[in-house]
Amino acid sequence: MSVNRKGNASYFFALKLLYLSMTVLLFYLLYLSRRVEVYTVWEAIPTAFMPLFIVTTLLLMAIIVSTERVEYKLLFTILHSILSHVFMVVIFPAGNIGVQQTFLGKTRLVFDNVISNGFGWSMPGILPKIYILFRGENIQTAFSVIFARMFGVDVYWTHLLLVPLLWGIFVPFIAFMTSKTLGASERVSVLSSLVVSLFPTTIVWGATSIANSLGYLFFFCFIYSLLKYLKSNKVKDLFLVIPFFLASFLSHYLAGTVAFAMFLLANGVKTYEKEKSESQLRAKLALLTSFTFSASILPFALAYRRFFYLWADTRFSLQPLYELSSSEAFFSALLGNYFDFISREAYITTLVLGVAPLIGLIGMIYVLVTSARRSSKTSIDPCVLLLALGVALIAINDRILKLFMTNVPFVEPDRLWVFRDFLLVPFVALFIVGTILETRAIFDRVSKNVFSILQKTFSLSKFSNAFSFFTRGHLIRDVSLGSILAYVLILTVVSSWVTVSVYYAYPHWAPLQTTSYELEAVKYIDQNTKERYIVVGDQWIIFAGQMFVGINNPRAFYFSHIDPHGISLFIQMKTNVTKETLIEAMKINNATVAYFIIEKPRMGTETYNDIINKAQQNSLQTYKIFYYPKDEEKLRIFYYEKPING
Amino acid sequence: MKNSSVLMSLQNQITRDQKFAFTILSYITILLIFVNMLLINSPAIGVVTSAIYLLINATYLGHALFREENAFVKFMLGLLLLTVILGLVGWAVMILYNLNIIGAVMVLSITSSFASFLNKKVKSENVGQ
Repeated sequence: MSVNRKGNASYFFALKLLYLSMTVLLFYLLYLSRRVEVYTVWEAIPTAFMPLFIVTTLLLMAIIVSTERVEYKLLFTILHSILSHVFMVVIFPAGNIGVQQTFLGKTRLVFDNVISNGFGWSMPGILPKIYILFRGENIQTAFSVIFARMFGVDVYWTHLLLVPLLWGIFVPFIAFMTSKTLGASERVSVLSSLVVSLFPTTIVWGATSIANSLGYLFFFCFIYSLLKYLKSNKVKDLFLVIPFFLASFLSHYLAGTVAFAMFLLANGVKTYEKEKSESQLRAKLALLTSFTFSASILPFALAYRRFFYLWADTRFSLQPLYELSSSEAFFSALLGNYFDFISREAYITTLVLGVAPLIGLIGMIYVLVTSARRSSKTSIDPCVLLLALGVALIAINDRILKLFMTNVPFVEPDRLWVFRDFLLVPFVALFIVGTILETRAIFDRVSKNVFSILQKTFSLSKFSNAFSFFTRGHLIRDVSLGSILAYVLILTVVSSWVTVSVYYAYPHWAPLQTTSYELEAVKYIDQNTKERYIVVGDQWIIFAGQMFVGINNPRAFYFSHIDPHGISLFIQMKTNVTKETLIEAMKINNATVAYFIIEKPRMGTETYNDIINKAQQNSLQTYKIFYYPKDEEKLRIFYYEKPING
Repeated sequence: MKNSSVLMSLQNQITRDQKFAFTILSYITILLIFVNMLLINSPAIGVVTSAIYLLINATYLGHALFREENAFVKFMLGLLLLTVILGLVGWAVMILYNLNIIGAVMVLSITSSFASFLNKKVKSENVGQ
């Protein structure tokens, strides 16, 4: 697999320098792409960025397959991974709009000491209390607040960067360690750390700072610790399993439940390993029982979640199955959500999301079959067996949730895929290395044959030296022509594939992200209002405001974006902009000032102008107007202040 | 090779922890973080002191739990575990008390003491062998 030999220090140095320069350039281009108003990252990223990204990935691949030290390879892969995960944080004025801003709104309350004891104690009843206390918003808040206090920065930064940085640093590293634990060579292991990026799901979930992403991250760490424990069988390694399990469980119940199922499965595999020497049949039955039990955990956990969380309504039902024709039901059971994509003729999405798992699956089956054949007792490496059973468990859970359950609390098809993708990463790396070796052999054979035919056909003496040079199949000592061609071909394909994966991971359609002038507006209000105040606005302004003052903060009140009272007040203001509605809003937190914010790009020019006219008719005063670009009005704040003696 | 040996010798020095020098340094960083949170609020001070805190305690954990790995892997795994422990302890302190400045100092102190304890335990085990 090695292309180089000793004495290539200057070549490696140049390669590393070039890679680092390209990475710095890409970060700089990302920074330059930062926009005031933007919908998706692709709207802002310059055209040259993606070709440069392919070249940078190609350079990284070259470093990975070289004889460079593994520490450098890992550091460079981590750098690449961080770059792939910070698109939204760098380009958007306030990260990806939506849930992560709501999480920041909650975190802000703890950081500013508005609330103590986290979230959950105020819930009625002991079980809902436990449920909320153990939900991800608490542990994510703990992470963001601790790091913000340690580094002496605002929680805004630690929250936005928490997942992209932790994911960017640790996911490639854990992929490396997982492959190493499975017994892969150092180069295959390092390749695994880059191969994670071939799965678009692992890019997109690592780019958004939400508790679910933290759950996935710690699940992956948990899988590594579980494999290490399974391999060594030492109690010391069990000590590692516990914190990673707790972290994944506290981050998100989905990650925690799947981790728990995997833990039981690992125990099943251990029992199987112990029992098989005595009775193969008994051992297999025990493993089957363990697998069946483990596979039932997630569906039952979702169905019985309502004991803890009264609003949950997930149930077992045949309704989803009845709604499908027999052929649709068959293909849905076979292909899962890929069938939905195929039905909607989303072939590229199917391909981009499906190729890496398919290759991983082929790699895994190959490893299973060869390890079973190699051993006389049909013994399979317990770690490989666990991963294979884990993939099967995820596939079965995916089909159960899709075909036999209703009101499943998540609609995205890729929620379960992330678990599967993490389990398949080492096998994809193995497949790629296998492909390089096979391609090299083919190219070697072809180059030798072609040149020998050419030599026979044109037996010209002046070319004979050149032909014999190629006929040997070697360009330079110990490096064959086929080898170089194979490397160039595969590295180019993989680099392009990583780029395509990144390209499809980030959404190509999205609402207008939080704009810079929305952020300025909410900051302006907070900096210039000493009294208690309340803001009535649409969900977009709520997202912006809660990032700086929190949700339902009595001093500076923004409703939650799903609060029906807040929504109805906004609709009232939108249809008939009057002081009376603001006076009614002020009662909520006994505010002295109430603000009403409208944004032109969110409402449309007509509605925006209409509201301004009505406000003038009703003598509602304007507090501040924001413009972007220079002369175009984009946002207006109206206000009403309680009279001093009122 | 040079970089790796520098990292290794630094790790050796930290894990030897002669006269609890690095444990004390770790507590001093906590004190500086506390002062920074309370009075100065400087990211520069925060980043430097936190980096020293993370370096010492990640090295302790890496040394205690991943002895068979090389210096870089030991440090990375130690850093990962330290991050997770900070989060878990932070969660517990937040739920039971509060994650204000005092709470944050509690989290850092508990984590640091735990890492230092593990390092000492492993060291004494090694001496015993």
